[in-house]
Amino acid sequence: MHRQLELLIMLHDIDLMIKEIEEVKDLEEMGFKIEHREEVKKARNEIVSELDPELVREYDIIFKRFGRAVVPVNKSICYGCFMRQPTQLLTRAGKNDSVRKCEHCGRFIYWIS
Amino acid sequence: MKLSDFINPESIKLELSATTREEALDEMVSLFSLEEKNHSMLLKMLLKRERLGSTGVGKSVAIPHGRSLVITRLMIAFARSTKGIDFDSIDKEPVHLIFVIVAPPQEISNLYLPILGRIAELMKHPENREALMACSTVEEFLAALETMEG
Repeated sequence: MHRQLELLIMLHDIDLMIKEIEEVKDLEEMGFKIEHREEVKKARNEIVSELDPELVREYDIIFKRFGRAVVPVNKSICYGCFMRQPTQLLTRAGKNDSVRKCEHCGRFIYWIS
Repeated sequence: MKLSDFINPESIKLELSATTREEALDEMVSLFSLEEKNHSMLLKMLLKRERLGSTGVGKSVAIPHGRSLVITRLMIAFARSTKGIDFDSIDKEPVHLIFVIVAPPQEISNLYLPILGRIAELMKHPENREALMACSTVEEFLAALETMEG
């Protein structure tokens, strides 16, 4: 997998975690300690520092717009907009060897098997 | 909603060989049989979640959890450690019962949080924890889970 794509996926996982602790109020009621919020922000910064700044800029715009900036493609369907990816892209399907965006919705995509 | 519907027998390990929290998470992520890269990314997410605050909820139970893009459906793994593992739990006691719950960013059924809450609630009861500690086979574990769910 392309390293920048891997980092985008990890960045997205971190952002989901941040969103969860901000939005789900009963986590602490369930018994989970949420005591080092700054650690997650630190982990996010570590990933961002390895990413191409232009990709981060685009990622942030897409995340703000859609809530999800990176989405899987399964059986050639983008799971962000549910549109089929163009045939010429399918020759590289499954390889995840470059950073690509869905031609329909603009989200970053990666293939899942 | 039955918890046993989301736990494959292959995702249950009645005796972990891990002795640390990191090793335990690695061993449990292995139960999902993911591709190497996905395994690594899911493990990193769970370790980062532990940096936020331990998922050791006390009374010998830990429930590591999170959403990840490398997962395509909600999955639960269960493992047990007779020796106990230091999870930096809320009560500082070692953990013997671990449930790992992972889900994709969005699931149609939206059961990730209800399942997380359900397991946390069930594990508050000493008789449920004792029942899981007493199981000697995977079948017994699944039966015990069904019994406690009512």
